[in-house]
Amino acid sequence: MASRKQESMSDGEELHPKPNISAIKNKQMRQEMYRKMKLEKKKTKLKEKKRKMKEAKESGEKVVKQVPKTIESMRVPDETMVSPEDEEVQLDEAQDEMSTYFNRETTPKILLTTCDRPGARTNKFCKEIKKLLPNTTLLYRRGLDLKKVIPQALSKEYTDLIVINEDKKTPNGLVLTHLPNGPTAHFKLSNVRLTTEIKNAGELTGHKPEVILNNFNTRLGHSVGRMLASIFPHDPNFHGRRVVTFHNQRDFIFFRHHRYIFRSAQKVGLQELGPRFTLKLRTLQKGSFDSKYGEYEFVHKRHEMDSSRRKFFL
Amino acid sequence: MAAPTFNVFVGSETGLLKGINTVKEYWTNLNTVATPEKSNEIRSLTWVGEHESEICVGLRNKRIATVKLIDNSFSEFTQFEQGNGDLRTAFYDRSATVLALESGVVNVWKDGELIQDINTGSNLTCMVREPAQPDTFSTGGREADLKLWDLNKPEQPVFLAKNVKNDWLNLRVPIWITGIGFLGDRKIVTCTGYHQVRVYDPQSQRRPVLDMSWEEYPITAMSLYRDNQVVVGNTHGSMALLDIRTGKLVHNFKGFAGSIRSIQCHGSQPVVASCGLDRFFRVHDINSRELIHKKYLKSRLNCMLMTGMRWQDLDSESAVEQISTEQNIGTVEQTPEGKATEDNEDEIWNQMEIVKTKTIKRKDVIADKDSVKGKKLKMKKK
Repeated sequence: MASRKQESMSDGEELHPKPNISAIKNKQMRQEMYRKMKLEKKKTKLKEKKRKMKEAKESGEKVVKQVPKTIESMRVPDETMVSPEDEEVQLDEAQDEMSTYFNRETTPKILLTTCDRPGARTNKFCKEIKKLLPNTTLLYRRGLDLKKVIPQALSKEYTDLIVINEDKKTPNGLVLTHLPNGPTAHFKLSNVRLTTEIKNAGELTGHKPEVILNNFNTRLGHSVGRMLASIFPHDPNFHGRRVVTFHNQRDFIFFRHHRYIFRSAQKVGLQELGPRFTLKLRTLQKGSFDSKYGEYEFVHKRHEMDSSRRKFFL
Repeated sequence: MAAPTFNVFVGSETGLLKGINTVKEYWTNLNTVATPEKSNEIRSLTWVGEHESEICVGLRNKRIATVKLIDNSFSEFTQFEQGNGDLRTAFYDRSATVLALESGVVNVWKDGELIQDINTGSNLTCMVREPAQPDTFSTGGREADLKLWDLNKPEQPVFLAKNVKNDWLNLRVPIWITGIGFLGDRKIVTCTGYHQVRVYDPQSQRRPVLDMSWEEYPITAMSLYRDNQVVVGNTHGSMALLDIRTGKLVHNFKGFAGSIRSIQCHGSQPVVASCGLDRFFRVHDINSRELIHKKYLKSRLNCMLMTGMRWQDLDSESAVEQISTEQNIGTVEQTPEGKATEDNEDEIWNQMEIVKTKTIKRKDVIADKDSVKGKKLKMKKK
């Protein structure tokens, strides 16, 4: 590769051939040369681009900024993509388990717990989640089965149960069960950054946050979005300017927590409050947590489903 | 006669009945649901009578209606209030309506009156009618083992299965029947929530004659394919073809994302249709495992019914008329003719010679081989 690049570069510019980088035997020298070559190439490319822009402007053509091709923008058309105005979807959603929340019949009350004997990092993470989610109680698991926890939570009128699982002392899984009768979502949890690890993280206030759900467009995405929305209380305190974002991109759900300020009519300032993490849906199960006998609505089967990098489910 | 023809009917959890034409690849809802209520869920779809001309639709809240396939028109829903629990399966035949409820009660209604009330045990999960004998049906459920009932003798079950022997820890094996199918030679196949597939032979013994296990999640749906194979699906979205003579897996089908609620094999073609919680209706080729057809139907799908019509016939424009004429023949004219042909067939069968196959014992075969070898040896010696 390197030699071919060399040839194309040396075209016309210089007469003597450039040394073949991959033939340099000293590793440090080779790396240095390669770095220089890359830099030079970048510069010439930029120059060329600028020149073209200039030419286009002079000739009066309109310069259109090109949209980059990403796997997200080249997404395979999906028939499960539904419009929220669809009558049947509305009918389905009006009778689902979260409809009581959206009809304002229930207010969320959340029980947060962990796996048995959580590590320090998981504990810290849970404490931050507790601060972030209004009306949450954090309880020690005490080695109890989830199936025994659920009836107890039901008797205390909890509406959701969140369990943080860990591996090698770092949180790596999140189970969200809507009570009393499901659904249950199991997420892979990754890239956890605690508030202390975020630069210039702001101080948290006790206001009810606003919730932003981005790109939950398929029917499955709708269900997941509804589940995530239903753990936050209605009527956010706009005075607090706190906003929680669930941004779905390529089936990864990025969680961010900010405080915003309108500096002027155009400018908005954002201050991250933390924590920060990424979720990926593994399974969505009908009914409350029952991994053995429960019926699954969606199971992400890696080898079977990941046939195309441009196919997404949420 | 402009009504579209459908060859598959799917009942959804929202209460909508969907008709699908697998050849022209379109589908529509055949009814509308005014209020979003969970009780509207379609739990059962069964044929009325032997001819595939009318469907009996059973809703979760014990309401029954029939749909005529000629014009896809719904009759009025009739409410059957008697009994606890939601409806599981319902069928309607010769003016009698049979309802199986989750509490284990099977009610038989005639002319608006309850004439029979059979208690089949607790937690009924499935009730299936024997295709060859419309008066018999079998039931099963959680901790309610397989029972075969005759509507003419409702006091006692005709056949009552016995649980398998205790396991290697001498513990009782739990029962949870989730699907029943009738084999041609009066054998019964069941699938269970504890991922077993069992074959019962009521003539020989009460315990299953074959007991096999498949994967590790509850089997939720089952359909027989020819006399010795069965297609099963589970809660995790796996579907496979199993052989019930050898008790082994033949092959798996791919492409499922969620629990499979209903599977049906086509009567004459090697295709299998399935639907479930992932809201997709899929058709696979049984032999090549290929996904032939896939449709997104927007609601969670509960039950399915496929006509035995060949797909080639479906393609033609006059398919509707064909059905209607076939039905007329079936109901009025064909009865005497049909009998005559049956008699003829019997005669042919009687006239045939009985071909006996000689069973050669292994010992004899070995002895034979030895003798041959001996001869050869002798030859060499000579």
